[in-house]
Amino acid sequence: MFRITPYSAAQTTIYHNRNQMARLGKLQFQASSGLQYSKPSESPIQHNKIGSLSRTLDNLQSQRARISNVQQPLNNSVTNLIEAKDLISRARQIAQQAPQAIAEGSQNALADEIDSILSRFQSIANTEYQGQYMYAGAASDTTPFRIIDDPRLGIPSVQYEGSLQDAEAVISNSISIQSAFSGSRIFMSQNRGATQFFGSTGAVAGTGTDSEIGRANLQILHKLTTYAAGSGVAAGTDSVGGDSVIGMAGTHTLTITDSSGTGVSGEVSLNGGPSVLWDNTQTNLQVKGNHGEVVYVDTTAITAGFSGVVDIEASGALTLDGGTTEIPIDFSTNQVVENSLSGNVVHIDSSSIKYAGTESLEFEQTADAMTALLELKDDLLNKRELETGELNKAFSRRLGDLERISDQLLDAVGQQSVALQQLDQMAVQNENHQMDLNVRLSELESADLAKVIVEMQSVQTTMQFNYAALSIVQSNNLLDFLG
Amino acid sequence: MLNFNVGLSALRSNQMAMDVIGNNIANANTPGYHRQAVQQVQAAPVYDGNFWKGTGVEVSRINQIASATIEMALTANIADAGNIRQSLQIANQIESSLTPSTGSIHARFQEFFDELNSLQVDPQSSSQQRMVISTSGSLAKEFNTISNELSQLKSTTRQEVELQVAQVNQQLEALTELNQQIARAQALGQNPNSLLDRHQQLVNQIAETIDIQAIPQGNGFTYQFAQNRISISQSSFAIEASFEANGTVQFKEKNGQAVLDFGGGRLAAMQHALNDVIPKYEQQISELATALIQSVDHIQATGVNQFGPLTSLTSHRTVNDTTTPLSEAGLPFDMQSGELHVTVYDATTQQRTQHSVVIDPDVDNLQEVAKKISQISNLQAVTDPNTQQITIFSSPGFGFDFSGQLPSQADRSLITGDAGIEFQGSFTGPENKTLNFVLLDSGQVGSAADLRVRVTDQAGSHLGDYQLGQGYEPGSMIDLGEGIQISIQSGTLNTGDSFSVNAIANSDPTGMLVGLGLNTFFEGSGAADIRVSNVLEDQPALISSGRSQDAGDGGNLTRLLDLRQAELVNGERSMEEALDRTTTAIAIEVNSLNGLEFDLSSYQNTLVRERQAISGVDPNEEMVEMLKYQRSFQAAVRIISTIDETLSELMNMIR
Repeated sequence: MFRITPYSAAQTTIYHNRNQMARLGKLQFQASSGLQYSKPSESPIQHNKIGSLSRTLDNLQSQRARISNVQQPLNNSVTNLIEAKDLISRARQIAQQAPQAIAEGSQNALADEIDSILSRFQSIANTEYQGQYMYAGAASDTTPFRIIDDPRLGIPSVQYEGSLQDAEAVISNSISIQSAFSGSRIFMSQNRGATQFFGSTGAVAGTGTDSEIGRANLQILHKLTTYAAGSGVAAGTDSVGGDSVIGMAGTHTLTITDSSGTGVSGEVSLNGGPSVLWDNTQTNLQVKGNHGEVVYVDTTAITAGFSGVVDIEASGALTLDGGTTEIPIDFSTNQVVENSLSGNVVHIDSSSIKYAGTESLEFEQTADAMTALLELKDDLLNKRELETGELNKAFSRRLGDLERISDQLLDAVGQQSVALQQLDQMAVQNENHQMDLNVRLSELESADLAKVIVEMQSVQTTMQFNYAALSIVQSNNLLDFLG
Repeated sequence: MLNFNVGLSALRSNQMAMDVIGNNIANANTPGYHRQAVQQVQAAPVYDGNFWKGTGVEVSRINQIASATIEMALTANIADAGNIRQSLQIANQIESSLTPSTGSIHARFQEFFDELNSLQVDPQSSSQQRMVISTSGSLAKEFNTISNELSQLKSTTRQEVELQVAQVNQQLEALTELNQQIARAQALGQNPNSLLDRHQQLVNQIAETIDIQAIPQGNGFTYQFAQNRISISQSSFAIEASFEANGTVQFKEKNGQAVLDFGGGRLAAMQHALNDVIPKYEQQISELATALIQSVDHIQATGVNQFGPLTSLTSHRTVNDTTTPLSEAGLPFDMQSGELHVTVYDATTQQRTQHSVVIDPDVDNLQEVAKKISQISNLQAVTDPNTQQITIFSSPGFGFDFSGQLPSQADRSLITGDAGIEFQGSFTGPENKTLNFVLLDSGQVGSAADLRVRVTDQAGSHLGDYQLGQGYEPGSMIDLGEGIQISIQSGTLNTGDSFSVNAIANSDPTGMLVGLGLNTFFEGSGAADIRVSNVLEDQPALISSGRSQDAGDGGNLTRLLDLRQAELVNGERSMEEALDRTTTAIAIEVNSLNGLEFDLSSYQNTLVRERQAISGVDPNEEMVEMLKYQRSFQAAVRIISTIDETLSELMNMIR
């Protein structure tokens, strides 16, 4: 028979009481903290799950913050680009009104309006968000767009000084979204059409692909005129700076008649133009051709009795940067002329160049938004002094440029709106996922308070039974029955 | 003749029995007390007339009521419970250091990556840069704290070992003495019950510390340690703890050679903790810290801060000797043979040039490395034999970094044409590669009818042919993929012209920058000494946020953020996963020990109850016994009284 002594009964009570108190302590922690576990060892597997879920939740929260951080500038950008597109729309209206406005003499007012549009547009292109330029790409501390009005170029140009790389914000391991955009792709042209020449020098587009954008002034400079031997005629003292003929021998001709028969006097004409009297004292006689071309000749040594046609050979040079870089004309079909200020090149067919002068070049479809506005303003003021027909064609091209730019802006708005939409969807997904994880975490981490209270009650009851049982066991004492 | 002696014997015997019962009742609640019971036998009879006549009763012995089996089971249980409780105590402390909570290392890791994440959005934000440095510092300090706590735990455990050894030696000495007393008493045929109780109690006290078992022999006991089966008898026995330089402990027989391998008790638990458990967690935490230091330092060292290229740089991880090969120079991290890629910037021309230095850590010492770096144009490196550091600096107007960015221009040594060739972008490929370019035609860029360039990789694989003649706008970018762009300026190129570019994914596969501590994020090499670099603490803007000088380039921060998922610890798991694994491991250990402790405690309770069932004193039971002996005593008194009266009557007759 198993003996139970009061000592063992007490020990049993103490032992179970300790266990119940430990249980009660845990329940008290759960009830007071609302948490199921106070340390990982209470449920290592749950702890592992909690750790994993917590990390996932933290990643999601970080991702959500990143989404917000990208949403804000992207929203601003879309707003900016819509405003920019509205500005371009107004510029298009002006381009449409331009021919009539010129006819009515109100072009100055429109040019002023283009000025203000340009100013606002430049401000948009150089927008800052939280101290960073939005359209400078990765070089977000650099002002992206600068209008350069270098007198050597003759016309203002727009320079993009930002980065060609977008600045990207990583949303998650596999998703990156542009947080700062390369303005080059938004505002600069991505196309190239034919190069138009406005001038009468005879220069035309070469066969190569140009890299100059917008407009440029191609100067065809006269260098040296020489005359075929035999006539005794020579270049005049102002020939280098004053002659406007350019071409290989025979392109231009001088017709000399020695009416004195002794080389003392006679007549001379250029390319069949009006005759000019000469005598043997003139060292700088101006002779003009039918197209306004000019040569200065020295007639002091005309061969006596010479009458005939003299071939002229005149060399020249090409420059795009006001003479900073001059390329000798080689009369080939594809001469490369570099603008040392922009680093861009233009391919020139110089084989037909006959006259010195300036060609106004227009690189179709290459004008960026601000250049297009500058060009529109110039054309409104007809700075190139184009004839009405040419001017109207120019307005038509400006309209084309502006439409292209408008489309480009619309594309950018579309792309960024799509990105925003994706971000919104990601934000929603992210929040749903977070909510799901929070629920799962709560299930793992949080105490079931109803269960806790019931268990506390149960433990309390058990402890009461424990004490009562001991009391009963201890209450039977023989001494109570002894007299 | 009537004899008083029979009654007297009954008086004596019952009195003795009541004394024993009194002693039982007095010790009813004395721990370790075993109840006793008198063993009464009838006294030797005498031959009286033709009869053998009884002479009364006598107490032959006072029995101790005990079960040796239960006592031994209880002693073994006490040893096991002592072992588990001590292990649990130590494991609980380790778990406390690693329990996730506000300010825990788990939270610090999370904060570190959260702040990096915020910085990635705005890499130039000075307040955010400071936050990153601050949270990095907190993370480093948490590593220091855990390392310190584990170190402290080792230290206190060692002190505890010393105390326990001293205590158990005293107990063993007392046990030996007690055993001798018991043996002497038993040799004299005595029942040294109180001594046996004290002995059992002492054995159980010792069992808390070492797994002793007392085995009864003829007179007294012999003792065994369960694991070793080392028996000791009545000679004195002592143990000593021998601590090794690496902090481990071994127990030996004092003044003897025997190594003691305790299977239970607290000392065994402390030995296991000092030799295995604490070092294991120290190693895991240190591996984690090392993974953090090496990975973050590598990215910091190979990135570019917002101020652009460096102009001077001094190492902070020092070598033992500048003339010793790096692999033997006492540096904390291993290095590999390979090429270190250096980018040099010309501030005037804004041009980058790419250079590489071949490093063999088994051959090259710090001076040799300095010499190799100094061979790069506009760079110089010097070593200081006093501080054992290397300093790299650039010529005035130049800068350098280890970002491995593409060079600004192609090497023209094999180009006969005059077209400029420029590179842009940042290589995003996973591994270093070389792109080789060969012109297939001759002509003018942008205008030749056919001017093709062929691109191949270092293995000769054809990556593509690109038209540079008509249709190509000189100076425009050609996207070669993986972030690399090339532009060819107007000019000429000729058939056979060739150039190449190294696309660098990892500019320091040698690990030299991290090894020497050149432009690193952290100082130190493990959990105990990790700290944020002084340079970064003073100037948080020096965090290498980009892979280029572009202000909005947060590419390097992206690489840092990628570390969160990277399997850096033993190539198997991310740092936070490894931390969770470590936490879970100790949690499982604590959980398991808690379960064992509960089971052993429960078993101990059962054994105590069983012992009580046999050896425990039930006062009621004793009272009943006492009543029995009291009545017996009273009866004996009556016998004596009756005899006395009878004799008196007889005497009266005589009178």
